[in-house]
Amino acid sequence: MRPTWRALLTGIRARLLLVSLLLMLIPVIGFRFILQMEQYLRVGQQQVLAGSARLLSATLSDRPALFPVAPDISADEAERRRIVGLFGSDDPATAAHLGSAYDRSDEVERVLEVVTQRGVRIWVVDNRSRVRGLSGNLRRITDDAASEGFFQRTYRIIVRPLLRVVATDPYTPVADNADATYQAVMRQVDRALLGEPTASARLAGDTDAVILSAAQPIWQGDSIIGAVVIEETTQGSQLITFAAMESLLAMSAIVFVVGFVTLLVFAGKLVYRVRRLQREADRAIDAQGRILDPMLARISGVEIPDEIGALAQTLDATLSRLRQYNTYLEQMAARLSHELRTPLAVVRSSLDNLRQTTLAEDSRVYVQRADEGIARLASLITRMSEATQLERMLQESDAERFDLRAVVSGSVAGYRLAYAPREIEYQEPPDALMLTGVPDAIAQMLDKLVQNAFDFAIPDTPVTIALQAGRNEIELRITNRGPLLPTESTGSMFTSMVSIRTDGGAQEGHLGLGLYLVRLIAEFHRGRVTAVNLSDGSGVQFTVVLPREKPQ
Amino acid sequence: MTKRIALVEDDTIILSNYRDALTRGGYAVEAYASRADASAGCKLRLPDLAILDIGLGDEIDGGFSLCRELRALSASLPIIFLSARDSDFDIVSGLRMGADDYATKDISMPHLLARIAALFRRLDAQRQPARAEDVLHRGNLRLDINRLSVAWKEQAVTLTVTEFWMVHALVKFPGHVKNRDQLMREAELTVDDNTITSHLKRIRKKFVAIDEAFDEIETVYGLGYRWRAD
Repeated sequence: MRPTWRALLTGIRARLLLVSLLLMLIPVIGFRFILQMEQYLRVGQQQVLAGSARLLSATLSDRPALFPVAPDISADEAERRRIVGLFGSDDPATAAHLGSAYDRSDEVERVLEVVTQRGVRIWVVDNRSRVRGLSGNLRRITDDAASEGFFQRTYRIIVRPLLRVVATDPYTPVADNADATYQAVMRQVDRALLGEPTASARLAGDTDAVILSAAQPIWQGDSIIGAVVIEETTQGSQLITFAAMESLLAMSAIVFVVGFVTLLVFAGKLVYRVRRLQREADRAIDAQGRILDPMLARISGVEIPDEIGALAQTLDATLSRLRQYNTYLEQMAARLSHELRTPLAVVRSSLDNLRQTTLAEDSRVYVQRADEGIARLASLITRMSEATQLERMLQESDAERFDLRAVVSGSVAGYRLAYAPREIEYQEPPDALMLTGVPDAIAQMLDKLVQNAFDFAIPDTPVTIALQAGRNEIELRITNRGPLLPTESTGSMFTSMVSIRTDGGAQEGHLGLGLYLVRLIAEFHRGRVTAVNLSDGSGVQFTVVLPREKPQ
Repeated sequence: MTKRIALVEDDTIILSNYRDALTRGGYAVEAYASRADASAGCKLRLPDLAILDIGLGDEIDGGFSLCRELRALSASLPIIFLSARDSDFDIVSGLRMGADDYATKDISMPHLLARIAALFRRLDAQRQPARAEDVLHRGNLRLDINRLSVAWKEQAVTLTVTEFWMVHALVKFPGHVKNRDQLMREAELTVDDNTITSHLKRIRKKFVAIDEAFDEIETVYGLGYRWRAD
């Protein structure tokens, strides 16, 4: 039986795979967890940033030397210094935007240079809103597309868009708007100049990159002389998040593939065992409904200690119980006949004795009738044990090599005498057909088939016997005109005690053993027997097919 | 002198029926219902013929062991097995135990009496000289109807009474086919076709045991059997 696509889709394997989709939940939960972690990282970063701002303001506080009163210089000189500052700046775009508000103090910038690191920008603004120090920039690390290998590129093209759905890509460049930055920084500076340290987070331009910042006032004695603002991108924590997500994705993919394959193999094994069980159970019962011999119909997998193994065991036990029951049924006829013989002997011997006594004439009639009844009973009982006797005979007989044609031809000659005046048409093969077996049994089989044919044949119609040799098989066909077989029971008619034709039957009573004998004999000779209605509906044909032996 | 028959049968109704019939047939009958009784009775006084059931009460093969005991007491005592069993196996076992004949329980009284008479006749005849007119000669075969004995190439073939009458029926008209019904009638046998087949198989074997080239009994499929005419 070939599994169809439909069966595959509704099968155990498909369902298990469907269930395995639950594995998908693992990365989803992981992503959520990582995003949560990113939040914590950002909070931590913000605190670090605030701490840095405090430290820096402490460093800058109470050092009047850092904030000298700007000497009056000419406009040209101011312009020159501004341009020099612009060139020396870490962040020329911002510096340029500041224009004349950028009043660079070398002392301040020297201090700032020491503490500035990548991704951090520090502003120092005095209480006249002049930017006295600007150090560092918020440029991000970008990945180097030129030097990446095949795997990295594949990874970038396939995995990164996936991750971008749930997390911010740390490699997106910050498109910072200088004006917006200036506004934001000045807002914090204004608050700091009032003595209030602040911390804030804002989006950089249109992107979803976040810039954190912290502001702290700078003291000179009791007065605030300026403010320090530290800005930092969240690229660091985003990089960590991204890396975590990448490895989570990779792990999930591996777990998924391994789990998938394991499930597939596991399900495949289960399905195979169940299928095998189904096949074996199917095969254990033949077309006639008989349970085959354990040698032919073995249930495998009974030794495996799981539920399917238990099922196999149950099936095996059921089959063997059914087999016993079948055997019991087949032997019942023999046992019954044996058991009936004793009471039969009681009746018969009583009748024999009765006949010897002086009986009234009218009583003799009844004794006569009882005798007839007993005779019929005896012949029935004898026939019931015929099958067992035959089985035993077949087992005990030594197979011999004989000419099947001679047996059939001889038998036909005998039937012509025995059934006269009824006619037999016989189609004889041209050559001898050698066969190994028990010729007596073959003759007995033919007896039964011919008797059966005559029992059901319409009076005055001939019975046809045809013996034909094919390349590998020998066919023996017995055909009679008469009532048809009910089509649904042609398989069971060769079973013990099943008689399916009731009309036109013999007077002697059909126990349904005759055709069972035919099957026994045919099967003993490794052949088979079938019965079909003729296609024109005029009668019934029995065919015995025997394997042909290679000429020696 | 009235012949004494020992009848061993565990079914009391059959036992009394058979006893009545045999008594009416002119025999003195000693009926036993168990093996122990029969064994004791026969040791006390040996009967002229014994009819044994195979299954006796709880002893499935009680008849067989009784047969062995009786055979040990006398080599010439005719023994008939009368049983409900009709399998070849039981028949062969019974005959191998040294029984002279085997009948199934559906045999009719007249048939049983005829077989008993035949056995007694054979016993009597063996004590008298052979008479020429009672002997049939067919090639290598010599058949003494009076003594119910058969010899092939001057060697005695030990046949049961049933088998003897079958051979007789075949040999009477060599070349003529005897069907199973005819053989059954001649041998006063009331069994089915299969038993005829196995009887003939046994007869063949007994001849073949003496002469491997024996092939005188021919099966004519669909008809019956015949003795090959020379």
